[in-house]
Amino acid sequence: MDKEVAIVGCTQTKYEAEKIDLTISELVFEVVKKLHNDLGITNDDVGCVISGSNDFNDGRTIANMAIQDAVGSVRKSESRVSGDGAFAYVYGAMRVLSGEYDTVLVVSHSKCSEGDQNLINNSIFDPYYQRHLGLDQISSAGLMANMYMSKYGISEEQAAKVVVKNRKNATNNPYAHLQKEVSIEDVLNSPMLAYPLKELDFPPYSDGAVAMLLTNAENAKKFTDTPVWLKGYASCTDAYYLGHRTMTDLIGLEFAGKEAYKMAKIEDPVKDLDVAEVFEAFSTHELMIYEALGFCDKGEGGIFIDSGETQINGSIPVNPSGGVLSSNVAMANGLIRVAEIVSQLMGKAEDRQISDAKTGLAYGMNGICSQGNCVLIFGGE
Amino acid sequence: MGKKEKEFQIKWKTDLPYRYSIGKLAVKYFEELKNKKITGSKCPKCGKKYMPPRAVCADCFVEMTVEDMIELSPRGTLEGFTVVNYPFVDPNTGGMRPFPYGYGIFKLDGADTYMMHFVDETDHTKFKIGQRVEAVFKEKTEGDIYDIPYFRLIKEEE
Repeated sequence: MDKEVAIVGCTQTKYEAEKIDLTISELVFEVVKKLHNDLGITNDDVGCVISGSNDFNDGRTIANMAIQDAVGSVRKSESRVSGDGAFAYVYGAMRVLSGEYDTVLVVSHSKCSEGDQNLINNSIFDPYYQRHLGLDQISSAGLMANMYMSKYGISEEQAAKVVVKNRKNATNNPYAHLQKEVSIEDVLNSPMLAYPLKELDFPPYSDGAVAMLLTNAENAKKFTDTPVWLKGYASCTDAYYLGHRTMTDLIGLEFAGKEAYKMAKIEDPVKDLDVAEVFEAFSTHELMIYEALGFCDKGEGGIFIDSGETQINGSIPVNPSGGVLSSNVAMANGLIRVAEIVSQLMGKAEDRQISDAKTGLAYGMNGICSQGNCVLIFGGE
Repeated sequence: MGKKEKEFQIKWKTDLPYRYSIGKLAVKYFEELKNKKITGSKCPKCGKKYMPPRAVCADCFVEMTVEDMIELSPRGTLEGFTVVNYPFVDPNTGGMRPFPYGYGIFKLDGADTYMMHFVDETDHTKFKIGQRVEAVFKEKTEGDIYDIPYFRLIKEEE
């Protein structure tokens, strides 16, 4: 598709470990108000609101009700995705495509600090066979990393290079939670959490919010000279049970990537894409994402990070924002990836700008170890 | 509790009990577990053998009933492992689960899918992919998930 749904502005909070003095509603209001100010609009100019959040994370059911006033959706067309924010973007894009709304506000938020993330993640698992056996996102990641690294001969140093790259990139991103560079030795010497993964192979937990305004071709130029257009989208869900998946390859992401490339007419992703922002939940996960998205061949994620091609000056920079390893806002991560790609394609990414970025990919994810996958391809003016 | 926590936070400890229906397949699974047998589902169309049992074959979209349940070997082959080395609240007890503990992902003999369970080894250098593992049953089984407290690494197959 070409020039049918535009993003005309994005706002993000600074991501932090604990925004203790803000309610969820106040946190969301910060990005919505800033978006209004940036675009010179009022709430009356917003036709429809879509948010992305999670009830367990927010600690209340139908959690979107708690932010209605902050997103300006009281007595307005409103709906919500309970899942990664990338899917909220998709819902918003569909509201634009319906032709019924000229503008759609898409918002996603989380305060990871308010709940017990291990317990919340444990509750993803079924309560009959798995939940009692203590699985969570960290132990599952350990199993996946061990299987992937063993099958393809990936080293712990290659995994650590992902962390070093993303943490270095984060120092150029004023919104990033962790803004301190780390070395390969720092990663390798950090405490073992779930063999073979160490503390620094995992992201922090962060509080924050992201907002953006979507519109159609007719109205895009009223808001900005540099709208960003949706070119391709696909999603795919892999099996619920970890044990019913391949584990050494992200089959669901592979499928979603291929479909999104077809829609966006991407033939050679490394050549045709200028930048990618992906939801990497742990170090080796990013290497698996390279493979699933066809940036390199299967099993070559390690060689690919060695090549430096995913560095900020490489042929396909991945996570110039610092990625999830630097800021991990559960449920908002996918929409933050979209916002970062928008900044890149608008040429507004400042110190983390990839020169001449015209086409970008955002990958959002739900569930443990890439269960639900959402791939979005965007193009600039 | 710091001054800022005291001023800005309200603590809420939710006890939110559920009574999950486990379905006919899990009822059968736990019944058999009490007899120290591990069961799975075999798709009547493609023959794929699932562990744990499932009501629908994801590959064929074919229903699998209690009639399609099969016995699987208590032994299997290790495909991956981890040693968990961080404290977290055990959802069963509300207390902290002791750590470190070993965790394995393996295929039981006869199964086409993996299963995961605790393994009685906490030194990661002692694990080897391809190694044989075996379910250890409690002496007095009760027909619940803890009838198999863990799997053991088989040093030498008898």
